[in-house]
Amino acid sequence: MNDFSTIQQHRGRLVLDHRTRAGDLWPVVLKNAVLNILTLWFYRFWGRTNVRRVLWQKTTLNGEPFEYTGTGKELFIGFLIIFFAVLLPLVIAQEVLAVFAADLGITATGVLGATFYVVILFLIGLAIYRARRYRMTRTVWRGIRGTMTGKAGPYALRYLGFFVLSVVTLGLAYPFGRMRTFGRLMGETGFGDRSFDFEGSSRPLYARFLILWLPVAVAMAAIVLALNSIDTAALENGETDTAATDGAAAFLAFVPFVGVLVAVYGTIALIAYRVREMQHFADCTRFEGLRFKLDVTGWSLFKLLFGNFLISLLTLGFGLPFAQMRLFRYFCDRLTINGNIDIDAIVQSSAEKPSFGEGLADAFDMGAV
Amino acid sequence: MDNFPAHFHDGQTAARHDVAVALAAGGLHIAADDGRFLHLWRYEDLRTSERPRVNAPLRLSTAATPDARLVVDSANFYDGLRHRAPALFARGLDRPAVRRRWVIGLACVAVAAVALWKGVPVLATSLAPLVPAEWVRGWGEALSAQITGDARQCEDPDGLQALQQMTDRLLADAGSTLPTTVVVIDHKMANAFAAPGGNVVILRGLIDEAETADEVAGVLAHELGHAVKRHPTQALIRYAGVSLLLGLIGGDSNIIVETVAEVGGLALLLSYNRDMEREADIFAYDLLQRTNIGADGLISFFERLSDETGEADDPLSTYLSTHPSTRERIAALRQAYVNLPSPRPALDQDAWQALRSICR
Repeated sequence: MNDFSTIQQHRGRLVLDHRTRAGDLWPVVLKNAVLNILTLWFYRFWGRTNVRRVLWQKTTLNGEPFEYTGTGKELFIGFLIIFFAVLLPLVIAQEVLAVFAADLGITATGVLGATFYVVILFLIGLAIYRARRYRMTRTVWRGIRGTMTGKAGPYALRYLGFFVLSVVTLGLAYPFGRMRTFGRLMGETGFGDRSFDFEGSSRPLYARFLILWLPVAVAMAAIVLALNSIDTAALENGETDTAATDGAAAFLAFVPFVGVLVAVYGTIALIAYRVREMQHFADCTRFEGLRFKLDVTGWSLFKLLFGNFLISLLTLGFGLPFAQMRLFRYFCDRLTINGNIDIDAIVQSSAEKPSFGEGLADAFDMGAV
Repeated sequence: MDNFPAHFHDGQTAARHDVAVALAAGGLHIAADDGRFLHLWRYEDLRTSERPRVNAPLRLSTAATPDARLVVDSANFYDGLRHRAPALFARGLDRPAVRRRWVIGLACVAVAAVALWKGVPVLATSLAPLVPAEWVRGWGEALSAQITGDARQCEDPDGLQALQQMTDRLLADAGSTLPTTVVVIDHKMANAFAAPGGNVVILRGLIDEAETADEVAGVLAHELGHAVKRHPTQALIRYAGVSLLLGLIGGDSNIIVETVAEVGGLALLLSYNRDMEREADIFAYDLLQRTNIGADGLISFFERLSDETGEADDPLSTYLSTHPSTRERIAALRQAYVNLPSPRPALDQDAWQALRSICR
């Protein structure tokens, strides 16, 4: 097989680099804008492909670029399939339910409504997995394709399950759920015939998570208690001078102010949590002999996210590729890969590529790129 | 023959092989470091995934082994290949495949636009009569309940009898295939509407506002027009059709797109609505003539409405409105107007007074 080359052992570092500058993207952004308008956004699948081709191509691993081999046609067909097979039936079911809600009664409507949400959550899980699989199988480096080694169904069930668990535990199970879902996704991501590994506990995440969760939970609980302690029956009867009602009313007067405080604190604490989460996820990820380290900070992450938000807003959405470029650059700059790997021994995967892409993810408007 | 150094990936492993490439007669001659022949990639089979640039490495593959990659970084090689494989360097609209795609794409957009404009009303008109009455009735009842809210139905026996008299007279010639009922709701708004399923709801305010029974009969005839022609069901189908097509075309990409699509869709639906209103007016006129009531009441009602509301008649207001301008409606009625030799009022004086107090 390899009788005419030396097997290279990469020791030390692999360097992931991203070198897009705004100048590279302007032609694509303008072309996409014009063609989208001309075709009433029919063109968007090809536009998205154009952007990805540039972003992938400008990302290099040890100087060698990635390739994006997806096509607009694949995205388009994926969209059509999902639109007619999933979206349309869902919308019709929702409308029919709304019309006949009165006939069915509260319990039946409630049950059907809950089923509806469960189905949507499951579909979101499917969408995440399938979008990932599409992008991985359309990513090529040194001629070798990316892969996903699992199936979307089990992942979607897992996603749904951990979502429900989070809700039931009032959010406390969130880091645990994240480790389990992200971990599954990462563990089934592969390159050639090898795959990533993901192993770790969610315990290191809980310190920062509780810093976020506790104050917000306490504030919410206080508001709910205050609302409950206002005896509405007493109010209707004109008895407005109970001490409890006075205290609660006074507290509730502060609710908007408290709400703003909670929102600001929540945003800061959430960013801090995300930073820890990203670092931990990187630490738990392995590929063959490689270890990963992500060097993110709260302030830099905030600048990235806020900047991207401003870009999208000020360009009315047309400037999204620039936001995506910033995202790529951010991660490539801050990711360090260390360890040993025998790159040459990685073999092309014999798995079939999925034929079309991403309809579900497109429908749910997800995926950063 | 010049040998250019290059990198080769065979698409089977991730290994990078150092090779030498030459621009041979039929294709690219790829040889290993030690000179051993490896592959010949014919020029017509060559593919590249990105636009070739003169000062960037060329990444080539071949149709036979699409996973393999040959990377050559040389300006001389670029020039040489340019002459031997010109098709490779043609980009964009130079290539027939791309031109074909554009023609198909623009044709699709044109078809979608036409479908939206013309196809939706046609579909709605033909599908509406096929929708089973029971489905529509349930929906109609829910809708009526929503609009009338807590207001009660008016049930004064004499008033009901007068209402029934007027309704029967109109229904006899209306050609309705659905069982149609007319009710009066105790609400001060001067309005009437046809609910999906064949029920007409008149609000008390309309009866208060009217000066003669013929005026009420005129409005009733108009609403019966909506009911008989199944306009409410058509409206639902049109709305669904427009939403579907806009969803297909616009997708969920951009906040502007969504807004433009919604506004456009709304404008389209309003224009369909105005067409249906005109249709109901024509139906009302014909029905009033056939039942020997005459259209005078309807016209005088519109005229009073127009005077009182001081309706804006500029094109933009009309464009944004669910109904054609009242002036236009009066003009259309007048144009079709043929005097009836001996019209009979919709209700005699006693019945009219009874109807006026139906909500007592």
